[in-house]
Amino acid sequence: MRKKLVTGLGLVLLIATVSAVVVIKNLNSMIANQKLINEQDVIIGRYNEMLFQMKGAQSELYRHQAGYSRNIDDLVNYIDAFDDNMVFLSQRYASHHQDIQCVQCHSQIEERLTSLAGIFSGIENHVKQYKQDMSILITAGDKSQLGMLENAATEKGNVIIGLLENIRHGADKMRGEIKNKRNKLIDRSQSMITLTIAFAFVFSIAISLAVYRGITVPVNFLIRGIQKIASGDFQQRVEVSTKDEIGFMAQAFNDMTEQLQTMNREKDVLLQTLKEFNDDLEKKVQEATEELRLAQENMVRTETLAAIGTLAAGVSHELSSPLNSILGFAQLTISEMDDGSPVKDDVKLIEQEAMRCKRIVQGLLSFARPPIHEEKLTDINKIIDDTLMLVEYQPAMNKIILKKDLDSALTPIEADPQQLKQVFLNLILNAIQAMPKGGVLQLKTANTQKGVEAVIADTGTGIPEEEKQKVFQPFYTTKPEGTGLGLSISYGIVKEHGGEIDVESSPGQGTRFKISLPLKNQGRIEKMSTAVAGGQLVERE
Amino acid sequence: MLKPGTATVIKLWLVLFPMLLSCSNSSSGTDTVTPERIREHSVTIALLPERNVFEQKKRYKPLAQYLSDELDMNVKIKLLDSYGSIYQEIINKTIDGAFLGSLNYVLNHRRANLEPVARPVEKGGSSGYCGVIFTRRDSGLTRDVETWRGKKIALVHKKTMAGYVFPEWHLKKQGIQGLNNHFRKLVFLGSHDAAVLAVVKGQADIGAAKDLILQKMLAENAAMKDEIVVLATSLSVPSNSLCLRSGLESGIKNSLKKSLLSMHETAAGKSALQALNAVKFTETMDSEFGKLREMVVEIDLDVGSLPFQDKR
Repeated sequence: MRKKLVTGLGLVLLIATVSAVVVIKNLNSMIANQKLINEQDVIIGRYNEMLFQMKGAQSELYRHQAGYSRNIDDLVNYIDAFDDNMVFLSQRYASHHQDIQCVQCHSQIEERLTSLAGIFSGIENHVKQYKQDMSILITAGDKSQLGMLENAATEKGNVIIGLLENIRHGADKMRGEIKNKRNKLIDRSQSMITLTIAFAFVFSIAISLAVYRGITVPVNFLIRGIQKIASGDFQQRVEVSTKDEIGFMAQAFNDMTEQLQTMNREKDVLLQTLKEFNDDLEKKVQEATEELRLAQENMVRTETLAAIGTLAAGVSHELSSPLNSILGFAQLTISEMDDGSPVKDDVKLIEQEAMRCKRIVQGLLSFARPPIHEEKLTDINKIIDDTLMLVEYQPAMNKIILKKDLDSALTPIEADPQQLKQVFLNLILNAIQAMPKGGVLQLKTANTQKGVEAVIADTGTGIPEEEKQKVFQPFYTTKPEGTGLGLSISYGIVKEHGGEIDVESSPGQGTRFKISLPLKNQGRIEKMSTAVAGGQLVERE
Repeated sequence: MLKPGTATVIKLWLVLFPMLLSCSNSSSGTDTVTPERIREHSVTIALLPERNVFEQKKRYKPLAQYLSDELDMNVKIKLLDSYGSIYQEIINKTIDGAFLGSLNYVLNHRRANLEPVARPVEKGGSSGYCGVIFTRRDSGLTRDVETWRGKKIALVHKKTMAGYVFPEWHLKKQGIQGLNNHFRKLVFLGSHDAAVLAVVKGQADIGAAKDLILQKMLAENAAMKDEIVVLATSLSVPSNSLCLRSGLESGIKNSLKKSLLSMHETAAGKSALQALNAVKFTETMDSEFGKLREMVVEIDLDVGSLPFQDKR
């Protein structure tokens, strides 16, 4: 753009300068020609002065000689002035030798100047003699000489005047020639100046328009491109192919747009990632919320069971004494009754029901406050095997497929084996009872990070969702003859061991119990495991 | 590094700019005219026609210009057509002074109350002149005044020492009373150079004039130098001195005298002196004219009754 401006401005200035030079040259020619005319006027004026001076000197001489005046100053001044004019003209003509301007106006100028110089020389001689005669004439006292001197002086004066008139005529002619030349020059200069101004005007306009278009067109392209990009179209590029500042600006703008587009793409990727991260976070929050809800439910359940246990312990303690009295008196009564006594069966029924009540009370006591257990290093696999030996002769087992997946490398844990055996017995029996028409009983053990876990799963009737929260509560049972204390006692034993018991069930699909037990005293376990490896294991049932 | 287009534009500019300047230079050239100063006081000094009046004017014009500038007044030169007119001009106060020959001063000193001021000193140191009587070499005349008898003599004016008084005095010393009695014809030509020319041209047999003018004319014309022979020479008298009328303001008189006596100290003064063929001005005292006064007495010239008005 700067180059265009500089070039355009330079060309306009160039045209203006050329025009100015042409105009000034023409004006100078006219001025020079006018000067020549003025000079020629001056020369002619000088000739007229000289004629006047010579004639004046003649008159003064006449006045002096006639006795009208004794003053010779005017006479001398006339001649002096005449001399000065002649010197002036001689110098002026001498300076015109080889003058081109003179040649342009006058033909045979050199010859004419030479001829003039000759005439001037003649006049000079005449004047010299004239002055000498004049001087003698005006100072002479001898009348005999006056007539002769007067005639000689008058004759010389007339000769000089005649020569001057001839020269002046020549000068008039030269002035006419200069004027003719001037008139032609003025006509030509007027045409030249008019053409030059028109040329300069047209070309300046053309150059200005070219520069204007050369700047505004790429600028408009640039503006349109910027507007499109500003509206969000990052695919748009400014199409300016010039090699000037606007081209550089457009290129820079395109580079900037490219970077903006790249940044926009990166922003989209980041937004997508953020969205995914947000979704994932929401999912995790939901999961955490669900876990929290489950934990809260578990805690509520635990609190509920703990409250029930406390209540049951109190009730059991209060019922134990009257039940013992009832049972004692019933057994005493039976022992004292005859076999034929008609009420003996009734009393036996009282004894049986009292016994039943006693077991219920004991069960409640076991839930609330399990009997003090003695922990020792216990192999859960062995506990499960021992328990299976107790139930394998159950008739229902004939229809059930047993699947054992016991980890042979299961780590022994510190636990009460009798209590755990009761837990597994309750759960296995419940599973068998849940599959009256047969099914699959799956038993599985495995090491975990914190200890061991055991899974007892069946393919039985399953537990409805709304019932799952109640299965560990005392007296909750779906069986007509159940006490509803098996699972609650099992729950208490597992908790007593610091473990967890969970249930997963779907109606018609089956139920799955998972028991997690901690290792507790790890150092002792390792020590005992070493002893087992050395054949010193003694506390295994 | 300049681009080709820019370089071309600059080159064109380098060509066109001097042209533009030359155009502006050629159009200028107006002459400045300084108006001439108008001076309040004027002093008019007359010149006697002792030589060609045009030459006189030419010689004294630089001096007048110098004095005008120095004194800041108009010092004018007035040419007189006759020696006799000096008295009337002084009396009429149409002139304030004049460069007078020695006899004219002696004649007019008392009658016109003139005071001598200063006179030029020539390059050789001379500030006086002599009267000479001369003839052509082929005239046959000698120093013997008897050979002059019956000849035509070219004189200047009766009121010049060289051009009249000296020949009269010289003849009287030889026992001859009056020029009219000894010469066939007396021709008064009014100026010294006219007297010389008359002898050179043969219009007169013998002539009398100032030696300074004769020598100058002989120096300017080598052919003339061989033709002229000097027959008699007078005593030296003070050359043409500026004499001022007594009535002129003393301040102007003093200023004029001071300027003349010191003009050789300035370049402008030297230039004006050169036109007079002089190196400086020296003071002129009345006592320097004593010998001339004796000469006048010896020829019985009655200064008191001598008519000064020329007859035309």
